[in-house]
Amino acid sequence: MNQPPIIAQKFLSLFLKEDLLEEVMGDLEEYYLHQYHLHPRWKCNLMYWKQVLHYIRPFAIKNSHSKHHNMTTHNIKIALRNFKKFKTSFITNIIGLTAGLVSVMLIAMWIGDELQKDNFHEHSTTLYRVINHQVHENEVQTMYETPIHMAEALKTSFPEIELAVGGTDPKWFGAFMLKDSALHQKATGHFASEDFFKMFSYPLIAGTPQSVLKDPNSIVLSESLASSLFGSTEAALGKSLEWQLLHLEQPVVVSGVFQDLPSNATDQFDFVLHFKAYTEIIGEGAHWNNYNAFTYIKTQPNSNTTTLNKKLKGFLESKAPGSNCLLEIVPFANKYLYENYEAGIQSGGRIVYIRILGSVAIVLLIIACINFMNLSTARAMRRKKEVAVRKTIGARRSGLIYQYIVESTMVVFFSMLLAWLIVLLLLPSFNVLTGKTLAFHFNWTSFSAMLLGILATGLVAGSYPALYLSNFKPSEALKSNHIGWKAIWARKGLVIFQFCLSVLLIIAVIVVHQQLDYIQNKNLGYNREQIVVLPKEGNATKNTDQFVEQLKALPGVVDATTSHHRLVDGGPNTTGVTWPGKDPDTMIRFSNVTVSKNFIATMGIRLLEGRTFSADSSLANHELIINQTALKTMGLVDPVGSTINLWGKDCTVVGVIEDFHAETLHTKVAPMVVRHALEDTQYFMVKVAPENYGGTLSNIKLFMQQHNPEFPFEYEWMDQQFNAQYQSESRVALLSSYFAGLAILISCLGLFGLASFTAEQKTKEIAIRKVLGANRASLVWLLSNGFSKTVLVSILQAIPLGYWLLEGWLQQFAYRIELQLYHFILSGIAAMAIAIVTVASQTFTAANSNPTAHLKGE
Amino acid sequence: MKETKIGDFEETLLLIAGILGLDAYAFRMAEEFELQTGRAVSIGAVHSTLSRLEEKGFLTSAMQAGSAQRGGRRKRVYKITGSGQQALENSRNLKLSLWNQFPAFSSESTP
Repeated sequence: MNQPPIIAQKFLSLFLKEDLLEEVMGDLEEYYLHQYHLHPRWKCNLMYWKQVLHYIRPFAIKNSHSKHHNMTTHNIKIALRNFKKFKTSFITNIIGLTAGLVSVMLIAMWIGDELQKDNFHEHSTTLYRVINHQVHENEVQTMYETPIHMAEALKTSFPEIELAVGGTDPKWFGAFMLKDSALHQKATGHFASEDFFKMFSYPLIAGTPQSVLKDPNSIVLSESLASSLFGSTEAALGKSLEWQLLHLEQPVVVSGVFQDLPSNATDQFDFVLHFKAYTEIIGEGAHWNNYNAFTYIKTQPNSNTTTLNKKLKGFLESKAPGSNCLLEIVPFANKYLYENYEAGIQSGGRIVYIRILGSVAIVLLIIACINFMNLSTARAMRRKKEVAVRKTIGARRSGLIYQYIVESTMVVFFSMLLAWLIVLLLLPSFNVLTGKTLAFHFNWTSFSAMLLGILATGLVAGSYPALYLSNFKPSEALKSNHIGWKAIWARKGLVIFQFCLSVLLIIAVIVVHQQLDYIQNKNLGYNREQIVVLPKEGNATKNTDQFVEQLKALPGVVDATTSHHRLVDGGPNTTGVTWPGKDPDTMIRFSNVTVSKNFIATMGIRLLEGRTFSADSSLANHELIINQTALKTMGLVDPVGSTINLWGKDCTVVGVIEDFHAETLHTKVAPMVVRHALEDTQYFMVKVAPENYGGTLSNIKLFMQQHNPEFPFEYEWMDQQFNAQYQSESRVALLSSYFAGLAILISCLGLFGLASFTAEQKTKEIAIRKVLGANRASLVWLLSNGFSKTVLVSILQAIPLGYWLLEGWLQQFAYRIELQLYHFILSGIAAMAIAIVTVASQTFTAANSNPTAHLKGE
Repeated sequence: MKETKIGDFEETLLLIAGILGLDAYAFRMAEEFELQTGRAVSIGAVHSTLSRLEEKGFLTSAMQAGSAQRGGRRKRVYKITGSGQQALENSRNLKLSLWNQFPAFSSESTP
């Protein structure tokens, strides 16, 4: 067996020129035999392969490939000549495609960034958070809060759960004050139980994940907080300090330092405290009917979550008999994008925005591609003869298709280069708009994405013209100038489709804007204008009453009060409300708003019955005010004066207020109890007179600095806090309106191109009509009525589609606008007007031209 | 005008073709090249250069019957042409003339 490897020989015959095959095979076999005596067989085979591969040289390989190469250069040359010849449609195409590609690139970067959120956790496939669905009558409410003992109980009860961590949301508390003897600083933090750093991948610079949260008196700092407090990580370790929040304080020792959090972490915090400290703060509230902590679990690898979920469903009832809450675990990775639940079923969240903008990007690109198709087929008549001649000489259809695909790919390539430059220019302003820090990294991923984009877009845009043009019969194409009805209908169909998409976008932008306007200006049941919110801290936690009185006395201040939460972004809930006649088997969730006196007046809430809290705190602490929904839920006939039990304490209802929104407008107003507890409040709410905001603010500032010198003065306007709640909606609305504008622009470019083409086609007809006495108006009508009809058809199609899509979007808001007829009529008129203006500019030029110029010579 | 310049590798191959005479085909020449210069070269590279030299007119070739060693396949044997000879001589003359002008060697080292 001294034959050279057969596969190598086959391979050789695959690429080698046939007339060389005999001599080369002979030479190589001789070579093989020579080596055969000197080396082991495998080595000979390897050497043979090497020799074969060395024959891949221009002189030796088959011709077909090099011929192809020649055709490509030829095609590129022809394409360039055509670009020069049909400048208008070339430029129209480039502008349209560039605009489309810029949007796609920007949106793709935005989406990419959104998808990066929380993706750095090493165990992310086995990380879950525990949520619960509360079933009450026919409604299901979903909450992320769980009872405080949940984590511990789950870990001991279910072997599939490897780790369970209880924690709090950093957003629940304002800034903590961190103090040591020499310095103090404000920072954001939260509480978490022992295994927090084992479960989540927040890398530690000092300390081990096993030990940093062992001691209930430990605190783990971020790198930057450690260095700003103590100078360095090393210096911080083992140092003791004290944290303060409201009237709470605790001495702690630095047990570890973690790396500053990446910007794609959804929870942002500067330090972590032990969960036990939180349990102590909650005190008596730490029982199975109160929902005041988050619970995260890490399951054993390969454990079945479906069966775990089945077992978990009734778990809460075993701890709190009569509970109507069903537990469920959902992937932690879904936290950012899928946070909304409706009737206990996942119903979106930020993923909706990703879908909206993603479809906008695709729509834009489709519209731009349609432009290309339309202009190319419109030009087809001019190129008919070219195709016919090529076919007569012997061009095959595949060759022609290839030619047009090369042409479209080249246009896309130019557009991509341009788009890339524009993206680089736009990126800073885009970042301001989206509140992100996106950067264009030119690496293999982005390069191959761009290349793929060029090829795919080129293929899509070039496919129809290529198939259409290459299908001409040469004999007919050379004879007549007739263009088939099919082509015209296809073109009209594409224009209809394109405008349909544009009209849809216009409708969507109008409706989305109105909905957001509605939310931001909705009467919340309280007055959020002219309210300054200040954190209650330092001396103010001890002498709150005096602070409120003195604030009220400042010039420019109308009224002042305190509240436990900021109202604009939701607050605590409780099921601990009972009243005479309540069915003991049902749990009803109440929002509980903790305030001090003057709250109702300061916030401008309407009192329907009874009175507000007594001036004497010892009396007021046993009084409650309820809202209309609570009144309905409890079914009390004569509410004022009746007794309600809150957390085991009997309280008297003194008043009923109109419903107001203490949570975001995505959820409906829940039954509410307003209780009086000065020491539990966290914020001052100061109402100021509308005149001279600046002067009043500096009065407040001066006052706070005098009486609370340790704390830097911080304030926020309530209406701004409120608007910040809807920031993501506002941003997406703004983005989509920009992109919708672009879509309309691109569609109009296409229409412009087609109109100029038609005008050009009909120059002779126009000239003859003019000579015979036609007036301008009738000529303009002649040229533009076809387009108007097409646009009208597309508007009629867009309206039902838009209605269906937007009705679906509005469903996610508990408080929403109704779709009105004028939304659709307005969008239709806008689209029509834009189309007419675009076409008219072209037709006027044509109608104004001098007939003699076009009738001379043939 | 026809290309008449030759490179170093081409010149060596022309010389080897002259040396091997009737045995001047790609495989043997690659082997001889390695033997003479100690440098490895692939048969493909040799073949490619030979066909270029043929295009320039420095070599002609003809197919000859092959041995059993190559499965009875014929081989292409190259033969140097007049203009090939000329090119080699030109090259040698140029180098000799350069050598002669080299002061350090012109008197003693050259024969």
